[in-house]
Amino acid sequence: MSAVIYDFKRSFFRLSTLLLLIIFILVGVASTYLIYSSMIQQGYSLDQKLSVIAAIDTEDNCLIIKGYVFDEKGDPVSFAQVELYINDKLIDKASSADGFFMLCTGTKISPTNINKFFENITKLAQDSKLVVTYRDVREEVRSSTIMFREVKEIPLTIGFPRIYYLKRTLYTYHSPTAFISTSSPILIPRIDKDDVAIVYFINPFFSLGNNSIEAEYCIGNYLSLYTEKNITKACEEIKDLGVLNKTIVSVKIPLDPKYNGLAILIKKDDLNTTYITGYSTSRGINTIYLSLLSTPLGTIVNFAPIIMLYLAYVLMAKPRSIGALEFILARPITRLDLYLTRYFAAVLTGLTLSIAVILGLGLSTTAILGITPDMTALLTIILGLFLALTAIYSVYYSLATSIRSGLYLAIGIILYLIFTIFWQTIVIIYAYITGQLFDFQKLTELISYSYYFNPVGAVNLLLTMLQKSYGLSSVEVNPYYVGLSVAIWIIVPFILGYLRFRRINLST
Amino acid sequence: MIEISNVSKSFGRIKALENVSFKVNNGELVGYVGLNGAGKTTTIRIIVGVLLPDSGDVYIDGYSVLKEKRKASMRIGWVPEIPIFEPDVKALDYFVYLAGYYKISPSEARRLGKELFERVGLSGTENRKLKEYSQGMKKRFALAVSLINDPPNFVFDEVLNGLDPEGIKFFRELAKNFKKQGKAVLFSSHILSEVEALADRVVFIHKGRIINILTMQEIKSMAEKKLIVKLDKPLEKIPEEINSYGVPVVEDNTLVIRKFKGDQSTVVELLLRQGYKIMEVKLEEISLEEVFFKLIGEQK
Repeated sequence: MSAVIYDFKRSFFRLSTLLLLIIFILVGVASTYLIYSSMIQQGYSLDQKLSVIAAIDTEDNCLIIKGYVFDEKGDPVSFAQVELYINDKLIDKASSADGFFMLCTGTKISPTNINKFFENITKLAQDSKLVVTYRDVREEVRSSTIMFREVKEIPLTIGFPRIYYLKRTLYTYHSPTAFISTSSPILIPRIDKDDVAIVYFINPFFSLGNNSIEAEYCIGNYLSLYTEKNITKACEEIKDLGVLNKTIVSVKIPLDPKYNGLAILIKKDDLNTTYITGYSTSRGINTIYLSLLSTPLGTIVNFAPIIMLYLAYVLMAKPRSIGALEFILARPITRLDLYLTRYFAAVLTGLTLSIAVILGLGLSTTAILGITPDMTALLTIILGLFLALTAIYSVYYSLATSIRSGLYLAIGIILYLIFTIFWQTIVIIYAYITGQLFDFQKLTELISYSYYFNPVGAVNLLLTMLQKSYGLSSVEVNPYYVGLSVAIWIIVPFILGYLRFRRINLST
Repeated sequence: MIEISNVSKSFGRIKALENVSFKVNNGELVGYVGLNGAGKTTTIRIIVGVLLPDSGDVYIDGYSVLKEKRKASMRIGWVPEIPIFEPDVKALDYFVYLAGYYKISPSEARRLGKELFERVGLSGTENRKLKEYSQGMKKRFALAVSLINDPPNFVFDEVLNGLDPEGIKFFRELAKNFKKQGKAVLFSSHILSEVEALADRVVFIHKGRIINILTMQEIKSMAEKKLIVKLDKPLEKIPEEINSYGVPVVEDNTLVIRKFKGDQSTVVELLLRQGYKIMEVKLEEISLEEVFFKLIGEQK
């Protein structure tokens, strides 16, 4: 039997290792439940697969509702039954064709009784809902009104109140913040290849004639787009969307995975408004999943190094201290063979643990939520966890070759506490000293970048990269630096440990 | 064949070995004798490749322990004075693990393990953890492991220490058998009577230096017999015939014949004929131990 496999089996099938593995998998399952309950709390259900965007428009001197229905793949749905209710009273119903539907509100635009007209408008704005039924699934979409964030508010007397209906689902391409707030009537039901999104949004000036309504868009950091007073400063580049000639506009916008915010700027004469939504180049379900994953993953990253601390103890520190490696070394092997064997046995254990824990997380997700998690994300997290465990093992292994087992445990525990439990505290103290504590963005960046200097940082760095690609983080992590950091943390202690081990007296 | 060539080793400022050189030929059993701390175990650990010398090298059947460790280790077995293993492992499992280093498959290693456990007297203890083994059992386990590939060279380091009489007999017979099989056996011990009984040659080490290497013949030739005869009264004159038995010395009523050769009964008869009564007759033979201490004395 290969000695590596034997040592791996001895490391992996150890009560303490298996116990922690079970705990980690339970943490994973518990996290999945956490994710599931968070979704429910936010009003999202995996059963709700139809996304809808609709708005008030006019036709034949009558107020009507035009809209679109999409399935979970983002394709327009035909034969969806759409009903308009006001105060639970059915007003009109229609069937969608290629996703499009149109309903009559029963309210004339030039009413003889202006009070009655506004009464109807108010009812539409406050008490109306669309009920969409498709393949025995019934979903409700409540009405909203457009909120203008620009200084120049459009007087209500111009045109009609901008009533719309918007339903995003966990299958549309919005970031988690966009699921919480649907104040901007933008729907991204589908993203095609090369990250080109099919974006639907509502023209707020639909009743004011079409010719002079122009639109632009820009992408940037979602938080910056929202907080920056002059939005153009937060934009990467403003691009023209042309003249708007429909109430519900459909455009193709290439979305940059580096950013997570989309702003649509609409102008008519001296009136203008801006919609901002958080986007993600992955489906919302995956994005939400990933954003919530950081908590259980953080727990695992905090405690998994204990296993590596323990493995370096049982595979190197203890047998070396009691002199048990001598008898092994008398076999037909060199010191390098022995050093490599025990190193790779634990590395293999780390790999198995990483796969087991993350797959446990993934399988429980499939079992509980009924979805297949993004494999790229899972593989990235497995890789991150594996690299982190390998790097911290290198550090511990190097120590284990140099010092006696008692001292090893003492120093190992101190290093564990520094690199996991107290790491963020240390960074925060550093931020306080350097005056970066109260700048949220800088502090976030500082914490993220600090992981370059932490052997277990690989998992945090890869998670940050992943979250960035999902629009969940604004911190830019350099993949080359990540590679360099991981390589240094793994190789340097490994070599130092061997330089010591090749000459050390293995006798008691 | 085991060849130790100019091996030196220091631990900090302490010189443990200084230019140690000797050979153990095939079919030869060499005793390695020295006081505690003389450097026996250090030499043996260097021979089996678990300790690096500061200078010099060891060749096992011509393979350098430093440069061709795998090949050298393949050809030597080692039973340490105090075998230390990873304690929480079951004996047979650990045997299988160590057999892996000899490229033996797990199933074959299990079969071989059971066979060797029986051969070394550990049958029935295969599933006990090594920490539950006694010192003697650990030595037998180390022997079983060393026998995995039946190497042509063996090193026993103070192997009789802490063994019961049965264990001592077992290892004594084993060493003899190895010699018969043509193996080169190095046997360190401070039980000099055992070395005397077994060894073809003895290497004497003192304070890290080889002070002499003697065959048993040479030791025996160095060893002088001494006949001590206590008489009822002081010997007035040494009879002329006595001189042919050795070098006689008279101390009061005791006659001591150094370098005694011949038959002691003839001497007794001679003295009786002279009218002396014999109170006590004792033939003393100088032992390996005395040779050793004599050598140390010379070294001083």
